[in-house]
Amino acid sequence: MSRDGAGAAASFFSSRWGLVLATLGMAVGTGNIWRFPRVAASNGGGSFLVAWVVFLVLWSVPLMIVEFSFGKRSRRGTVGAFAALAGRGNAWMGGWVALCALGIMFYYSVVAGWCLRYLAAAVTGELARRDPAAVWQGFAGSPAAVVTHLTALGLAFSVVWFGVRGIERVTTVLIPSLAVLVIVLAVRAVTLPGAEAGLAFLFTPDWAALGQPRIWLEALTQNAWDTGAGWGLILTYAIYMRVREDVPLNAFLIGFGNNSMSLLAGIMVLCTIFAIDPGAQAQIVGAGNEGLTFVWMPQLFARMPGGAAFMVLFFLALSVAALTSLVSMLELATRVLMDFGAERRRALAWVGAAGFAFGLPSALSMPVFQNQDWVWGLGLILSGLFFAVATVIFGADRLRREVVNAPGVDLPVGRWWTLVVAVLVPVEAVALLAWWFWLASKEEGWLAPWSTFNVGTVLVQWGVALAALGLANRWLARSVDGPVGPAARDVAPDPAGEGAA
Amino acid sequence: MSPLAVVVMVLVCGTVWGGFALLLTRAVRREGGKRREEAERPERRR
Repeated sequence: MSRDGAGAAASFFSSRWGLVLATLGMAVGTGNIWRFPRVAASNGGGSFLVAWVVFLVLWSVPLMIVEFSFGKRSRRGTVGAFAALAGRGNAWMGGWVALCALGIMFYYSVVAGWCLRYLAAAVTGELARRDPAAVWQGFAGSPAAVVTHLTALGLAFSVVWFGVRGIERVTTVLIPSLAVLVIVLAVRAVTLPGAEAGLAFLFTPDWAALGQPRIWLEALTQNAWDTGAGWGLILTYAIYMRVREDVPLNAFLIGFGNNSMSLLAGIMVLCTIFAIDPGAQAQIVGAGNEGLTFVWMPQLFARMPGGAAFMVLFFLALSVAALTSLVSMLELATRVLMDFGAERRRALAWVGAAGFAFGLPSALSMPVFQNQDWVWGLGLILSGLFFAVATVIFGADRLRREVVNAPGVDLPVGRWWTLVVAVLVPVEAVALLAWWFWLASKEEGWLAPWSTFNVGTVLVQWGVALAALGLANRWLARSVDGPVGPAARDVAPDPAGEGAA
Repeated sequence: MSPLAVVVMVLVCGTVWGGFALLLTRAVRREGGKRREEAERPERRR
């Protein structure tokens, strides 16, 4: 009997589809719906999309394969996996990955709460009656945002409480529903009079733009953020994959599935904008993620025939996407604590309490929210780099032979993957970080530690986190080291008798 | 919409959605094959 009380068999995804849908639930989040359309529209449309597809294959999928392999091989959370594969001296890198995901979880539950609040407002007709800008100004940063933050966290908590089978059951229903919702919204948007201009805007290429590094770096950033590659979340779900489960085909499937949803969201948002208010497209696209979603989209839906119903579907899709991603973040942190010996539900309680407490500043203050989004969003690039470095330490080709292309593989990967992970991913990560810092360094007061968006605030917060992890490395490695601990016993032989690695 | 935009749309959507559809088909087939293999295994033992 596993310690989550649900039985030994409950410690594995019951099928490939359970794993794929849960991981898609993690990958498809608000970034697909609110960030992708905006970034694609403001970076050259068609030419950006070409670069975005290239980086799907040269960043996201290779890193997803790495994450699946780490989780499957080690059967431990991020800290234990890095210690097991890259050596005890590098447990801190796994700690960074966990800390970064945790930093994002703290404010992401606030975002999920916003989505729930707007879903409720769309259902009750409040968004149709009131000016959405006034609704947003009265809500963001108010005590009401604390209530919705707690609600979102509570919903995700109740899913993770039931372990991997709870996650599987919920995502098996929600992810296909989300896909249907996004397809319905996209079809509706494309059939609006004037929607063709939105398609033209999204797909018309500006080939000269492909010569600008900015387009490529934005495409890389978007892939890093919206596929969830290098966050440690896929690694966490891979702990529960069956031994004979395939790695590469699942990684490709999730990468392409996630980007398919992004593309649908881009078509949906841009066609709606161009069909309803083509004159305001520059203003809408430039309004930022929150402005586009919570101020402009309700206004556009209100002016669309049957818009009230589509507004409900839009915020339902957004809420589902946010909640399924939040579930994976809670599971990541819970799993790391379980590797340190904590029982699942106790670990989850600690993570939930910390999530609520540390999410409060972001719920109550937009500058804090934006600062945390900036600092830990950038941190993900470092997480991706650490995964590549750990793979090199373990031996990229060895990982490919022993784990990626293990018996039962459905889509074996060639040496190109070794080259991409060992050489290209580190180069991409370093180039991206250098570019961002260079851009930020041109701002006045770029090293001031208390600014919302600058290099100084990133360096201070990263520096504190890295120093703490460096000092705690020996303890981290010792705590997750040795024979399979009590928490790891949760990963018991699966019902097919295939056993844990 | 210009012909160039149509070409890019077909190229991007074809790669992403077409790629996803192909991968999904392959996964479905492989799962079906594995199930059949597992169903046949006890019969062979007998």
